[in-house]
Amino acid sequence: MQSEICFSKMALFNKHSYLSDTVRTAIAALLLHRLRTVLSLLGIIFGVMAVLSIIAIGEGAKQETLRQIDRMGITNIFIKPVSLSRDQQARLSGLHSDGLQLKDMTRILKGCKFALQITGSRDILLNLAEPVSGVSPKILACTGNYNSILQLKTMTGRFINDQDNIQSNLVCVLGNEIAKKIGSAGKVGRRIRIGEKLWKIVGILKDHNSFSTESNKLSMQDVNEMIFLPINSVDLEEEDIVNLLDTRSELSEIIVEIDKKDNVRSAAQIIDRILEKSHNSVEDFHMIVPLELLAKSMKIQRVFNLVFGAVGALSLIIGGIGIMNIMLAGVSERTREIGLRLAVGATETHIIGQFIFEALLITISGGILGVFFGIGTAGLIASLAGWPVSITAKAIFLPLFFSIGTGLFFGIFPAIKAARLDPIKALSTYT
Amino acid sequence: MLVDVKNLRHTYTQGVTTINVLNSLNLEVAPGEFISIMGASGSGKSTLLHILGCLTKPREGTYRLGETDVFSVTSNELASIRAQQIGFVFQMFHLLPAMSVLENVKLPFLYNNTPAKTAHERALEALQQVGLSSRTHHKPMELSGGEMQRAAIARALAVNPELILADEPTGNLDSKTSLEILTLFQKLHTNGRTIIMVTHDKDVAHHAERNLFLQDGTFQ
Ligand SMILES: Nc1ncnc2c1ncn2[C@@H]1O[C@H](COP(=O)(O)OP(=O)(O)OP(=O)(O)O)[C@@H](O)[C@H]1O
Ligand SMILES: [Mg+2]
Repeated sequence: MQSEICFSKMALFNKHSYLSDTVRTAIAALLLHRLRTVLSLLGIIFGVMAVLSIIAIGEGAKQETLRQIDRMGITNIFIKPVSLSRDQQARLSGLHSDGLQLKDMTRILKGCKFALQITGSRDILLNLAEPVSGVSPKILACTGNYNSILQLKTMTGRFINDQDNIQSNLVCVLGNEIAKKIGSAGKVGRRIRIGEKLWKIVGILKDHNSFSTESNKLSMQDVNEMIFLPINSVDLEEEDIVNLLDTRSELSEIIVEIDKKDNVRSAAQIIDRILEKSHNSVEDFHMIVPLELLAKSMKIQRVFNLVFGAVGALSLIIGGIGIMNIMLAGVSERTREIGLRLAVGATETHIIGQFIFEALLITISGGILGVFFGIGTAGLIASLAGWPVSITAKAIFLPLFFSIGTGLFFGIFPAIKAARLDPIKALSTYT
Repeated sequence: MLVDVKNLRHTYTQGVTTINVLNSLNLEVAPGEFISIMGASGSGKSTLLHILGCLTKPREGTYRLGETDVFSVTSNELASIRAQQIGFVFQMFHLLPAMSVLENVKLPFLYNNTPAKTAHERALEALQQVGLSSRTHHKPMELSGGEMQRAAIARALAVNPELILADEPTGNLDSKTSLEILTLFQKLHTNGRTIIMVTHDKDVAHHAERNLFLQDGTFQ
């Protein structure tokens, strides 16, 4: 007989009775061998669970990274001073560099045409003259546009501006948390004592919460706990910073904002050259480019996804083999039934449809259960390990589709085997 | 002619030996005939019936069933012939044990585009013809041998086929029950059905209207 599987007709889907018979037969067959069904279901459930939680963890990590890098600003370049070891200093043999200077900022703005704006800041080792309990503010002296580059918003008043720096005004801006803790003395217009001087509060920042997480090792400190001063209003000598840090850096950070993303890499190279020249080739600074951090972490992410995705896929494949196994057992147990169905007029397509449906029933229900358990697992990981987990549509549908694909792939062989049976031989089989 | 078979030849090959089962066999069946085919065990009766039932394709020969040249159609068309034009009754009944009698009778309708409602009515009608109206919701296991065979005949009847093929329909039944079944076939014949019945029992064969004897691969 001509073996010809006619999928094109798709007649099987407009026959209500064939469909309902297929559904009933499949359910009955699966219920007949409960243990067998449950075992192969487990393979799919674990597979989907694994893939889902892996994707959820991966997506969570990715979003966290993106959020952090977004905070730093994807078009920003950070430059920090590096204190040289004695060894390195010895090797310099007469070359001289003063670390990061305010002058460097002007050089960068002049030399790098991609630089939109630039800001410099210095950690100040002063403290509040009258300590407030539960408050250990970090004090930062900065230039006027620090807020615009890092997108800090004031709740009341204004931020430090260029005027403050030109006139060396004794003004300060408080982080949200600090202002709250200081209480009524922490309002705009009041003065607080920092070091030897009294500083007038001109602004209070909005709550920039969750600004720092543990993994955030970069310059993003908790803005809520910071106090900002104009950089020109603070003397280096006053802080005695020279002796403390063993460095002559005037600045502890320079942030350059680049006009657009595409120019960040070339800008980084240009700035590196400018600083190398002005620092007499002394490598007493280092650059952090968020864009490159992003690229790096994306790369790691891809490897992570690949490795663990493969593990999940493997367990799905093993589950699929389990399904093929029970399908094949089903075909040989039901040889006579198949023979009879063929004898009374079932086409190959009818028989294939029946067995494929059975395979799909297992994988789809396993897939759905796996999604639920997977979401649970991801939630558990999130709460136990404290990893950021994000259950995206991709995390749900990718493993689901994969499990359905597994059912189709591993179900098709037993189904074809059943459909190609010789009806007479099948009917004379004893089982 | 409803059935026109010419020059049928069929062989089975097992390892190195080839068994010639059917050889230059011709058969013509007019609509409404009730034919019995007799022959020794192994003479090829079942093989012939399987060929007539579009379940086996012979090595050589032609087979016209109504307007169709059976051996030149696709496997899907062959399936649809089985589903609509032929009713097959097996010696072993071959009812599906998980389904009720009614569902067994409805089985062929799953494969020939019959609406569920029509299928239901026709199946009940067929069960009434074989006298099983009271057993529609029983499982085959709950029936006697004769009742099982009657259910199987109802399944063959229900689709209203042009040709009913029965391979030793009484082979597994005692003489009293056999008589019941044969009387049923005669009734169907009176109603105008075309029936070909295979048997090795003379007494059974005599219930038919025309008797054929198969020997050495052909009719004597
Ligand atoms: N699938 C097969 N493979 C090989 N040989 C077969 C096959 N089916 C039947 N035969 C052989 O073909 C011959 C005819 O078989 P068939 O079943 O048609 O005989 P039969 O007349 O129906 O016999 P019985 O009265 O015992 O049912 C036998 O010799 C049998 O052994
Ligand atoms: Mg036989």
